Formats: sequence, C-alpha cells, structure tokens
Amino acid sequence: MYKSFRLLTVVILIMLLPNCEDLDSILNEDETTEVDVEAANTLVAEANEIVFDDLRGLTEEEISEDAYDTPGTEIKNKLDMSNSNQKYKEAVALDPTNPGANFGLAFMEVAMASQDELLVETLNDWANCFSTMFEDEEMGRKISLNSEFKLGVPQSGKLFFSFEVERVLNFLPIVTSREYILHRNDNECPEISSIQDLLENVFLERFTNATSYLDNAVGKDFVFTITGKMMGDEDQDPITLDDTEIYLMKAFLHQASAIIYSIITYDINVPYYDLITGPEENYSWQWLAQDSDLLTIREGKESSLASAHTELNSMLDSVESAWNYLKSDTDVTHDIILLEDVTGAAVEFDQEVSEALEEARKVLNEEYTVTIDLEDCDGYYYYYGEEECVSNEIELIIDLKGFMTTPPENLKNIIPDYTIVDSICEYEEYDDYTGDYEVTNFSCPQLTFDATTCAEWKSGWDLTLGGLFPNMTVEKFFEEMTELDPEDCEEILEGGSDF
Amino acid sequence: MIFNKLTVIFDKGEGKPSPFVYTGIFLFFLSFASGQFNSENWLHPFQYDTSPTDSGSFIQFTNNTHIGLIQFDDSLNVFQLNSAIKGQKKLTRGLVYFSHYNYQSTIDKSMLNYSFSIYNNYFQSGVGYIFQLENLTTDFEITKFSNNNNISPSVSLGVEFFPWLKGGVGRTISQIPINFTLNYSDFEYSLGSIFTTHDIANYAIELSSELVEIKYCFTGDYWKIASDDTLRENIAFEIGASHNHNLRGELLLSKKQNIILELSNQLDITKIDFLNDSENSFLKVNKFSSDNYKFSLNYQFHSINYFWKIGFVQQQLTLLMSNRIRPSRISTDLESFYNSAAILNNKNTGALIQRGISFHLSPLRKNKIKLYYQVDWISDSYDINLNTISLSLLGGIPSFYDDQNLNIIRKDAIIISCGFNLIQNKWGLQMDISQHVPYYIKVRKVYPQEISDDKVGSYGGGLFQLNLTRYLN
Repeated sequence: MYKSFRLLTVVILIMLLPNCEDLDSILNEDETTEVDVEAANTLVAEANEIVFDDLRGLTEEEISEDAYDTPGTEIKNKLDMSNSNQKYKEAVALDPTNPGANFGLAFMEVAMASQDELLVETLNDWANCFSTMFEDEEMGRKISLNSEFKLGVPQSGKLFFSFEVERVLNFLPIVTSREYILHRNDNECPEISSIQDLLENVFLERFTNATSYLDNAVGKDFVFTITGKMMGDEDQDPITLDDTEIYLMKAFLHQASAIIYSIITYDINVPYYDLITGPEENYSWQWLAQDSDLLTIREGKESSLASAHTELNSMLDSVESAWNYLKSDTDVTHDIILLEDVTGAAVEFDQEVSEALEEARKVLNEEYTVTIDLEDCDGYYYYYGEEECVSNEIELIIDLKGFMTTPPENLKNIIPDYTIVDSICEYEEYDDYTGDYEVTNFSCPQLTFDATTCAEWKSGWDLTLGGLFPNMTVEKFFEEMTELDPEDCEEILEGGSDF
Repeated sequence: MIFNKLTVIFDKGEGKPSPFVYTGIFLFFLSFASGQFNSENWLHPFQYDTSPTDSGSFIQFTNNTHIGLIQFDDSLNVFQLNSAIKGQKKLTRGLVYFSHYNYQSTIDKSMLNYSFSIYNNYFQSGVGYIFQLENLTTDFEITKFSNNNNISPSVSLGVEFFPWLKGGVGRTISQIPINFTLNYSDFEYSLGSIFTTHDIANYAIELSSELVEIKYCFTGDYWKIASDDTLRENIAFEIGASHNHNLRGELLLSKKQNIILELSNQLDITKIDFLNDSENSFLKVNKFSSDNYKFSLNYQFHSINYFWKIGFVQQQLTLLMSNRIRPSRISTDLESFYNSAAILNNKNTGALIQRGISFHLSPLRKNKIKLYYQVDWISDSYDINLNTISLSLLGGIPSFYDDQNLNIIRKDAIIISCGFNLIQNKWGLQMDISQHVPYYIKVRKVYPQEISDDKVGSYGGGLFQLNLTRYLN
C-alpha cells in the first residue's frame, strides 16, 4: 500500500512537471503580467482624465468671497481628488514600475496635502497672519504662497536659474531679523511651532514620497501628455511633460524639502500669546535666557540641517539632469520648456546653466569667498542728491557645508554670555487733556552681559556664526564691518539692552 | 449722454491685460474676417440702396462715414471712412470703368498702461472692362493697392443659359493692408505694413420668372498674411478662410408690391501663430471662428402717395476664440501680471443676437428731389465670456485665473434715418443721415458712476453717406 502511494505520488509529480511555469506564476503573484500592465495603463488614463476634470471643476466653480482669507477651507471644500488617487494606487499595485502611475501619485502626494485638516487650519491661520504681518517683507509669503516656491509644472526657462542654495539661510533664525521671531503684532498669528509641525508632518513626508515616485517616472522615456480636452478646450494643442520638466519638479521638491528641514531645526517657539495680552509685572522672561530652549536644536532634529544640505545637493543634481535631457531632446513639438527659452534666459541672467550649477555647487560644498562692499558715505548730499561714498570691500568666506553638517547647538551662544533679569520698565505718554505725562509700568527683560570690559565682550562673540563665516575675526567684524565705537561698546556693557 | 453710459459699462471689469489682450486680438480677427470691422452692419442693419440705378456713363464721388464710438479725449476711437471717385463709360458691347477708393477704419483704445489699435488706411485704384456678347458677360478688372507694388486681378464670367436661368463664376485676388499694435507697459507688439492676400472665388445662380426671382451666391475667401520676409518669420500661419452663402428670393405680388426674403450665413475661421524673435510661439490663436446667420424679410408696397418698405431682421453671431499665450517669451511686465505663469490658455465665447423692424417711407411725388424717412427699432442681446487660466498641475490651484463676462447683456435702440436724391441738369446728389440711439441698456451688475470733474464727452452711432454724380449721357 505504501509503495502504491509512493508510486501515485511520483506519477502526480511527473504529471505536474510540464506545468511548472504555471506553478511559478501562481507562487510569484507579485510578478507583473502583460494583463496587469494593460490594466494599469487603463487606470492611469482614467485617473488622468479625472484629475483634470476635478481641477477644471475647481476653477469653474464660483469662488466664495472668503476664499482669499481662508484659502485652506476653500481648497478643501472644492477639491476632492480621492477618486483619481485611488486609481493611481491601484495602477501602481498592478504595475509598480508604471511611470504614468508613479507620476500621478507624485502629483497626488502634493495635491492631496491640501486635503489635510492640519494644513487647512494652518493655512487659514497664516493667511490671516500674513494679511498684517510681513507687509513689506517677502519672506513670509515665500514659505507657502510666493510663486518662487510654488509647486507646479515648471514652465519657464528662467526656472533653471531660480534654484539658489544660499536661500536656505533665509529660513534660519540665525540670519533673519528678530522681528520674524519676536515681532508678532497680530492676534491671528498661530504658534510658530505649529507651522514647523505642519511642514514636517504633512509636507516633508509627502515631498519625500513624491520625490521617490518621480524617481520611478524619469529615465524611461515617459511623457505625460495633457490634452486639450483635459484642459477644457479641445482646440488647444496638447502639452507634454518629459524628463526635463519631471527632473525640474524633483528639483522643486528637493528645494522645498531642504527649506523645511532648515525651518524645523531650531526651536523658535515664542510665547507670543503672553506678549500680545501684555505681560503682567511679575512675568518671567527666562525663556530668553542663554540656557533656555529658544534657538536650540529641537529634540530629534540634530541631523536636520545635514539633511537639508543633502537635499540641496540632490536639487542641483536634478537641475543638471533636466538640463542634460533638454540639450539632447529632439521631440519638442509640444514641450513646455524649449532649449531656446533657457538660452534666452541665460542672456538675461548673464550666466549659462552649467556655470550656474558649478557656482551653486561651490557655494554649497566648498569654502566660498564673496566680496561685499560696505560703502563709507560722508553723509551729505550734492545738489543732485547723490551721496558721496567710498568703496570699502571686504572678503568673506562662507562655509555652508560646515555650518549645515555641524550646526551650532544653541544659536544664543553666538553672542557673549549674558543674563536675563525680569525687570519693570516705564513708559511715558503725554495726555493732551491734562497736559501731564502719564507713566505706565510694564514687565520687560533686562539683558546684562557677563563681560566687564569691551575687549572681553568682543572676544565673547562667536563671530563665525557657528562656523558659517570661518575667517571672521574681531577686527574684521567690529572695526571693518560694524565700526563699533568704544563709547558705544561701553554703553552696551553699562546699560545692557532690552528687547 | 447715453454713449457715455455705454463707455462706462464696456470699461467696467476691463482695463487689465487679460481681457485687454484678448479683446484686441478678437477685434483684430474680426477685422480680417469682415474686411472692415462690420460694426456698421450691427448698428445700422437696415440699409436700403436709395441711389438711382444707372447703366449709362457717369462720374461719381462717394463718401461713407460711420462713427461707431469716439471719446473726445481720443482714448477711444471706432470709426470707418470710405470715399471714392469712380466712373464708367458705356460702349456698344459693354462698358469700361474705373475707381479710386480710400478706406480708413480704426479701432483705437489708449489707456495709461496699455493700448491697442487696429487700423486700415489705404488706397485702391482699379480699371475694368465688361464685355457682353450675346448671352455671355465677362468682367475683367485690375486693382492696385497703395504700399504694394503687386497688381490684383479679378475676372468673372456670367452666362444666360435660358431666359429664366443665369449663372456666374468669378475670382478675385486682392491685397489689403492692415496695421495692428498691441501695447502693455514694457511690451509692444506691432504688425505694420502687412497685407492680407485674399483669394476670393464666387459662384452665383439665378432663377427668374415674371413673379419670382431666386438667387443663390456663394463666396469663398481664403486669405493669408503677406509681408516682407522678416515679418513672415514671425507669423506661422495656418488657416484663414471665410465662406458666405446668400439666398435671396423676391416675390412680385403686383406692380406695386413685392416681398423680398434673404437668408445668409457667413463663417470665418482663422488659425495663426505669432512668434517671438527666437521663432518660438508666444501667442497662438488655435481657432478663431465667427458664424453669422442673418434673416431678413421686406415687404415693399405703394400706397396712394407713398412708397413703403417694412422690414424685419434677425441675425445671430456666434464667436469662439481659443488662444495660448506665453508671456515670458515676450514681456516681463506681462509675465508679472500673470503671476509668472508661463503658459496661459484663453477661451472666449460670445453670442450676439439682434432682432429689429424697420419702416421706410418715401413720398411719391414727381419732383426732382426725392425724400425718404426711416425709423428702425432693434434689440440686441449679448453673452460674451472671456476666460483665462494658467497651466497648473502640481499644487492644483492655477497661479492665474480670470473669468469675465461682458457686463452689458442687452441694448435696445431706435435708428432714425432720412435722406434725399436730387437729379438736375445731369447732376445727381444723394445724401443719407442715420443716427443710432440706444435708449435701454441692461447690465449684469450696476456699478456706481464715478464722479469726475473733467467728464469726457463722446459720440457714436452716426452714419453719413454722400454721392455726387455727373451723368455723361
């Protein structure tokens, strides 16, 4: 009986041998078949149509009067892309290497961010905040609203020149004016940490995902075609997005990620609610103390600036890939960016793309020497209003790589050791009715430097700003750049300073 | 002044490059399509030919001035002025004729930061010979346009197959100059000294009996832009075509009354691509189409002392224009205005419908001077939309979006006309004056009138015609 059973087993196995391939296909369910590829392509085509229908529907709807005050809510109410997102996901599940599906998902990662409740709330809060803050400043809007950082289809040849690695410094508290941190003059401004959370939790993750999806779309001769029908006007010529545009999109995402990494590095949380309502007389200002958390690297963000540095290098690599593809591209009938657009922009910027890239890489990875002209002007004007100035050029070395890879742990240590004392200040206001001066007391922080002499105070500065300017010396900074008088120095030491 | 009110209504919501650019281009193509701007046809739809027909010999001076709308500070000018000296000499088997025309037509809008102007100003001189041999008629003409050395020929052949059936074919090649300037801040685009070369073919067939006359005409006009080589490099032209179908029927009810029915359709289609210095497209008109249907019915009869014409007209114009503009390739300021969007799709649609009735009265007296009076009532409705959107993918929200409807949606007007014909001692003088007076305007939204000390006067809607003829036999 046992022999018979063995024989039967062998026979069955022999019978199954010719069907081993079928067996493999059953066992390897992950392998993509031609049917899967076809099905994925169909899903992608459907999703593309839906995406543009949704976007067109968004613009065709009446925009509410509150849209400019509450863009987040407006977007959330009007834009629902869950249907197309689902189709792209199904397509990737069927064919993980499908470039169209990966491209679509990259788009979705960014576009769907607008559906996030956290983004909605924060955008609305910040829209209100922006309406009164930064009226004369560009920086506030650059975070989310300025077209320079708009995440969209790269369209202009000028974009090749719009990636500036040093711009990342604008988003660090070290070189921005204190007004960005302390001058919170509007009741609607949210806690600044909320924007950090938002950028990290929502945008950064999505941008990272989108970048990896785009990686799956480039280098495969993939072309995304936007037809006239998709644009709502069948008479329009189609527009094609090839590797030039996709690499530039990647560059945008790397740049945005670098900025976010920079923004989230340092603790810049100011208890501004206390300041708006007016601190009571016994208010504690010790959050400004040198050993406080303010302007220190946030917990878990020790390598954040280094990541920003990596992202910036990736950004330049993507721009270079876009440029190389554009130069070799021969099918340009419906392309968005043409080689002539870039060469035309090169004339305007007085720099070739390859030169701009080389320069940017030097700035980012080497000690880079810049010459700045601190003009000495005599202070009086000639008849035609021209001030007489004498050129005063000084050389500065910038070490962006050193600064970003080993950033200072506490930015407050850049200035000499100090102590914050909770103090009471007086404010005099003239009363037109009584003709008297009315004195009001209010709580204020009194900053006192530990140094007792001017030389000691000057030497207490980290004039390299955490290694950013490695060749900065006391002489260069105080004598050539700021031209600080001894009297002024003594005054600072004697009187301290209040914010 | 009611025309001041009109100006305010048209200007509201405009004044920015988006509608300004496309309105300018809109009119640009209308001017191509219609030869002139065709506003006369909409402001004075009932125009009866009151001049006496003469197949003999004469020399004639004519002048036709149509003032669409002008503002006295020169910020807006829409007018046409045509004048001509022409004459003909009857021969045994035909006639020779000559003509010398001066055409002027202008649309000019000038504001602080932007302006556009489209104007024609040219002379056209021609001589022709009509030869008639039994049932064949041939007409050959050569024309010379100013600022163009080429001669434009025209030839037609008419055949009377039977007394009740006639047919004809013809072909004309003409070169009409046009100038176009579009200006915004740092940007000026100017097309000067260009010609539109029209290759026009026409076919006609006519059936007639004692009681009925039916005539069908078809005119096909295929045109392109011709210019010097430099300019031609900046225009990639695809299609310029105009088709006109016209069916006219006349029913002679008696010697003193008849009914004339006319149906016509004119379809214009244009596709054109404007290139920058790098020969890359900065403005592509994917399609401009204008589809005009016109129906008119006239009943003409004699009463005891008067000759009456009672007319009804209905016409409908459907406009579609699809453009793509790339501001970064032409103007930094325009690029800034469009929020740095480098690709903008623009789609303009419009529907104009006009209905009207007309009463024309002419006393039947055997005087040397023949007068006429005419009162028309017309009602126009407008539905025009200008939509511009920038290309946007990632991020979802386009960086530029503009959707505007023309504020005015209806205009009712009366048209008062009068004129006379005087024939004395081989001289003939004809004068016509017609004034379009809008009395009711409906708008989507009423804007408060701005109080201004220096109000600018305006005038429009006037049509003046003068013919002075010297009969030679």
